[in-house]
Amino acid sequence: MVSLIRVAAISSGDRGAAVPQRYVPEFSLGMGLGVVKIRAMRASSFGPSDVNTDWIEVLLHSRVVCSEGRKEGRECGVGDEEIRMSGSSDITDHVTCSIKAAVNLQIGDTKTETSHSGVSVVDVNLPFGKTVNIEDISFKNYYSAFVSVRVLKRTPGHEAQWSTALRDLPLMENPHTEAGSQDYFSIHRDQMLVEPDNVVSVRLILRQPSSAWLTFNLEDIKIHPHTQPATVKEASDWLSDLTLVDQHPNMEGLPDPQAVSSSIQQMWALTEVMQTNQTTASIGRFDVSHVTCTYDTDQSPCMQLSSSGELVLCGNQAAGWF
Amino acid sequence: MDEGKELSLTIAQIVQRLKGSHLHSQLERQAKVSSSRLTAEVKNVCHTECRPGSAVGSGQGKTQTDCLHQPEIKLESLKEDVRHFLKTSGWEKKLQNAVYREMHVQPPLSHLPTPPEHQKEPLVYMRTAQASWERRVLKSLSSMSTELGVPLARKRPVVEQKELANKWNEMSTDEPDLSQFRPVYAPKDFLEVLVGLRNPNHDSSEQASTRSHWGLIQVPLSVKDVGQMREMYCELGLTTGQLGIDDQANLHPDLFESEHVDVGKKVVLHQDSAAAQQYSRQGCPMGLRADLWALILNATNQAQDVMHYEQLKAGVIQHDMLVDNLIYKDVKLTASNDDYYFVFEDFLYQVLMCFSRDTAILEHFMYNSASPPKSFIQGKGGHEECAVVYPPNVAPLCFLYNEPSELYSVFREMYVRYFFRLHSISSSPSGIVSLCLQFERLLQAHLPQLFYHLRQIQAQPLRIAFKWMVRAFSGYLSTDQLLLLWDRILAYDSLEIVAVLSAAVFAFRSDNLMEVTSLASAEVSWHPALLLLYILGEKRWLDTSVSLKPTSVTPPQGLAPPPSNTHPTPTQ
Repeated sequence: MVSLIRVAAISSGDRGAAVPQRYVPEFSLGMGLGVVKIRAMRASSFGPSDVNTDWIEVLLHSRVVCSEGRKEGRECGVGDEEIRMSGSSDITDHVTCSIKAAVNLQIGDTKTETSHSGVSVVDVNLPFGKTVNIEDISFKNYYSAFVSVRVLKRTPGHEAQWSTALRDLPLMENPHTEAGSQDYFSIHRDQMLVEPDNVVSVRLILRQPSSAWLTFNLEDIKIHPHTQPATVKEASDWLSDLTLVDQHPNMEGLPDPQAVSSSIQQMWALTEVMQTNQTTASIGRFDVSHVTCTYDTDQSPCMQLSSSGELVLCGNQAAGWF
Repeated sequence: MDEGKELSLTIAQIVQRLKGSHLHSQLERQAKVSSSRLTAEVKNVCHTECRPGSAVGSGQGKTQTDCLHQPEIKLESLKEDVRHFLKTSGWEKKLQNAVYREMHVQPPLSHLPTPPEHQKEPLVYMRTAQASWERRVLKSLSSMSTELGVPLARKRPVVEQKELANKWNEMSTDEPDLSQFRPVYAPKDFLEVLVGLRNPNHDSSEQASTRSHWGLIQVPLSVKDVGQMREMYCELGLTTGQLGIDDQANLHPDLFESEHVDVGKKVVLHQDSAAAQQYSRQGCPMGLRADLWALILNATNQAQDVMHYEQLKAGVIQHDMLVDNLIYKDVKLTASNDDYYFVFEDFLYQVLMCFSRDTAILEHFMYNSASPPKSFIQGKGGHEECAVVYPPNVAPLCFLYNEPSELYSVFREMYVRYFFRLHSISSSPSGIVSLCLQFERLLQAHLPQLFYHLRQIQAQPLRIAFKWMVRAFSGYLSTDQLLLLWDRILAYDSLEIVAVLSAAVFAFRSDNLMEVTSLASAEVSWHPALLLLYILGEKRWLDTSVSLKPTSVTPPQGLAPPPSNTHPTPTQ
């Protein structure tokens, strides 16, 4: 059983001050309902149009669930049963900007107080006027068994329309057991049934049919926007992050490694030649003095066979003798 | 994420893990050798075509270089040629085995930004439980240290170092006074912690009924039921031959044994980890077991392993740790009194003491829910040790390997892959919590009357079976049968078979157990003098179980023994 109460943080004239991070007010509720799962909205950038950014949402369950730690916070007043649409919730774009999402929880279907409906809805809205092309939606599960995703698309010139992007994605293999219950998930646009472009709002419908769990939810919901050239880059970003060691350091003023390696290949083959041609009278070292070489600074180090049949290296040292 | 991306990520991760390893450098060296050989061949071709140059001057020089430009044509195929060489010389197999090992040890991490503690253990309440258990153990250890005035770690004086180096191979002859050292914890304590595990989000308000769980473990982990186990362990079915049953004296070897041994020899020849693992599902012949296990675990015994072992040995000689005394006492109490294992006493000391100092094990903490404690040597700082206070089961391995460094590397590999799960709290399907839960579920599903009866007399079956499971039956089965059991653990890459065997033991003794009236007598009923255990393949309720030759089960009566890595005195 889920009901929503919006709790206003009383800000004493300090408009636009940042709300502290996680704030759990403690209060007893006379109806015998337990406490409170509280989502605090972390908003780090405020625009002039963001009116309701100070709202803290409070969710009542039939059990005591106090998940966030206590930090010092402001005083709080509780309004009962105020259900207001949150007009402004910002979506965190994990990649570029740092605006956090506010989670709107709505009651599922039944209104009876004793039983869990097993369905919960999370609305994630974008600020007014802004649409996004979604790359993926990532979140951390907390005992939700299935999630469905519906998106509200507003293409220019058309009415805003709801469509189902994903139906009943299983998050937990078995809703009664722990597997997958606290895992991190990500829903990519390729997995969605419709193209998540020009999206104004996303609705996540959570289902948990098992009666074994007291609550279920999604945490840390983040929506990442789709940027055209970036899609390709993102995949290789991950890979390049993984194989970071391989990246060549920035080489300014140094010769191209490919050219160097091919010339080294030749030099090495020449040394092989030299080794087989070695006479017993060889001095056993490379002697620079016998040969005048035409050393050109632009080219790779030159090598010539000297009169005694030795291989001679002029100029700068070759890198990486074998 | 589509499969292509996932595959490339997996490959990238495995490449990352194998980079810089010894195998990597060996492969590089081999590639260089082969490519130098190939270019030497090319050069020979050149020689026959070009005049050998002796004159100075760019003219001749050019001819030579012209000639050498020809290998550029071969350079394209050089890559292929090198690959072909690596394939034919067996290096590709080694790489395959290494990749196989990496995939088994730690499944490829997801691309999502999961924090490291989530990878160790996804469930928060288990992490907290493990952390508090570790704190308790460490507190006990450090209080013992202060009480007895022995530092946790100290550098040995030179005289003592020399002495230890001299009698490295005969540490069993030492008789130090260890009476004041007591075990840090007993399996019973650990069981209490497991029993107390609760998920805060779990609704456990319903009363105990026929539908609820009767056992001690109250965590809703997902465990396999009999149907799923039958599928997974299909090679243990009645129609497939098994070593241990189908190679008994009264059966003709041609029925199963000789063919199986031949296949085994071929597998060892091919040096393929995956094939060895598949083969072991039906048991390993005694003569091939050492090689097969080393192959499955990809535990090499090359020069660098021997060197690593020597380094650890030097570490043991240089520094003395409190844990050493505990190990010493433990081994003295258990292995040296044991008919089977007393010959290996010296080996056990060596291996266990090295093991407790091996920092290479630290990397397994990435997927182990436990964390290593840090200890500081007086005067030095930051000597991170892996204080495994529950010494795992080394003794049976001594039967297979007589080289200490080989024994050590196989033991370490087995620990890092399987046995660490037996004493850390985690939600993994091979973890001790899952094993206990599986045991209880199997028992409740298939022997409800027995379970109910035992519950009524306050003798929860888990209290009896826990000490078998937590040691993977080491010390409770005779060695040849234990090794057969461990064959299957390696072959199926999971410890679930231990839970199944515990349930099978109960099923077998169910008639006897229905008669007992108290926990103490339930434990006594395992006394060797009273019974011979004979577990057969044809269980009434479980088609798949490990079948063993008749043996005696020898746990002690009553009290749980101190943490032991071998089986306790049979005469108790």
